[in-house]
Amino acid sequence: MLSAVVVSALATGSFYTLVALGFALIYGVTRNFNLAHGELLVLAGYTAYWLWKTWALPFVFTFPVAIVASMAVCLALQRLFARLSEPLELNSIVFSFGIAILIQNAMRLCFSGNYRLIRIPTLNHGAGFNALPVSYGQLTLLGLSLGAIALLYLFMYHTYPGKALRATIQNREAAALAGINVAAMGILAFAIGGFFIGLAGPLFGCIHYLYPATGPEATLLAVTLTIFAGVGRLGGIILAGWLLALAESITVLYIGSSWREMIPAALLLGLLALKPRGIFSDDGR
Amino acid sequence: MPADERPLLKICNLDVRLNAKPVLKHINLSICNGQITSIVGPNGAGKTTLMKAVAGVLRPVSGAITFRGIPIHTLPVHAIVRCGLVYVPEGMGVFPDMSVRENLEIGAYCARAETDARMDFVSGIFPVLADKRSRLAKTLSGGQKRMLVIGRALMSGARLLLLDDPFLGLAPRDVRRLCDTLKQIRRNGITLFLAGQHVRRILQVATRAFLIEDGRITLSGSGQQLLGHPHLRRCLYGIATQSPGALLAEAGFPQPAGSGLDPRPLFPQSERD
Repeated sequence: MLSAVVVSALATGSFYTLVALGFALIYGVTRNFNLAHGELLVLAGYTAYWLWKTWALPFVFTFPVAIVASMAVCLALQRLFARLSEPLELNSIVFSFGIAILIQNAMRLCFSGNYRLIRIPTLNHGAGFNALPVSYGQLTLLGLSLGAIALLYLFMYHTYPGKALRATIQNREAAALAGINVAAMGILAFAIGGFFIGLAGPLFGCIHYLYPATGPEATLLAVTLTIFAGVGRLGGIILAGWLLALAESITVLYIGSSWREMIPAALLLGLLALKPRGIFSDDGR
Repeated sequence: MPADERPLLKICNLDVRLNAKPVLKHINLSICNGQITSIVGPNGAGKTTLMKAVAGVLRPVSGAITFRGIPIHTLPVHAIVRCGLVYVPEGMGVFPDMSVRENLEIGAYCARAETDARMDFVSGIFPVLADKRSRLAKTLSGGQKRMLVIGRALMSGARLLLLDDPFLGLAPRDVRRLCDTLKQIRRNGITLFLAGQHVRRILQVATRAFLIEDGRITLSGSGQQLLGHPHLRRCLYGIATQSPGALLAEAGFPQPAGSGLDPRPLFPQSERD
């Protein structure tokens, strides 16, 4: 029983990390607090659902389309975000809240308010490890999420543009004075954010019902993990994702599934009260 | 005019406002190639604003700044860095969660092909940084962080370094060492423009120096000339006469006209430039 909980938490937590990374990267580099993050994710999910259902595209092939589409949407949004003036955090919250409502209603118009799910029966089958109760779905979540995270890690730590992104997250002014084009870094952050959203969206449609108003759940998740890890500490997010998923699994197991959605919200409130700069920060109060 | 006396940086009639309040008024100043130029002045006189305007962090209302003949006052910050003009703000603006080596690599971001050669050059000037290259920047001491920031600026291949209060918060021993290092940097053909509160230190190393008061250049000359000038002593140390107006100005109040200070430069700029 416990091993099932741990496996499920690892898979779900890796997926949570995937959901949060795009948000965290965009916020860290551009200080744009994108409240429409969840809506973008659901939109990518709907894109995959539509391709899979209407065009009978194999599920695997929905990923490239969803990724390209969501990168395009993110880059278009970046043009709008770039027009905002200081204070960027506040203005971007108000702006992206409007964008979120816009996308929600557009999705209601296009896809109706019905609950949709990308049903892939094979994903629910056990993968055939006797000791570990793991399904193909969980393996997919783990593989894709960890693969993408590893890719991002390699990019951020072993390439020049990646190092420039980290520098921009850590000190914008110093980055500009070191010759880094901070505006171009913002575009890059939105592009990578779009990639992660496009990857997470179809997976979201597999493990969660798609409906126009479900975006804020994903946004809350992304905000919680970003604040939990500390802004700009991308490495902490994966640990945060696993911990959150484990806390949720344990809650579902011992208290009841109706309490599951309380966990991220309670965690966020607790963090803001006790460790507002993140659990891994040096200067927590 | 000899070849090495040609101005590397030329500022003409520069006006800068912060929140609609004029901070720099008709600044004219030029910096010669291969020299150390210093600017001193009371708090709030506009030293940092001047450096930020030259670096492109602040946009002037009017006036022109040319660097190696290129008008740079309309360029973005990173493009100005690529021209070879690098501003090092006061404080210890390192990238805290990156190693010393990565911090330096970021400095060479606009000239990646030369990273290794520049790394050797910077290691020669700051051997401490080479020893601690794999340490995270946030674990360095204040003096080492300052070295790292200056080293990072050198990595970009700067021709002109703008150092804002480079001695701020350093132990006296570190201040002396940094002074020697600055002279060494200059010997390597890099022009320096210093601002700061350590008036004696900053003027002693300077070939040429300026006093800025309330957004205007009021004195210019060699570092030694400025150091011995009674107006500078009156203005910065309040020796001899400290008028109520000057006290008010120091406290951040607008300075009334005729506050008792002699605004005439000893060496009028027009003679020199």
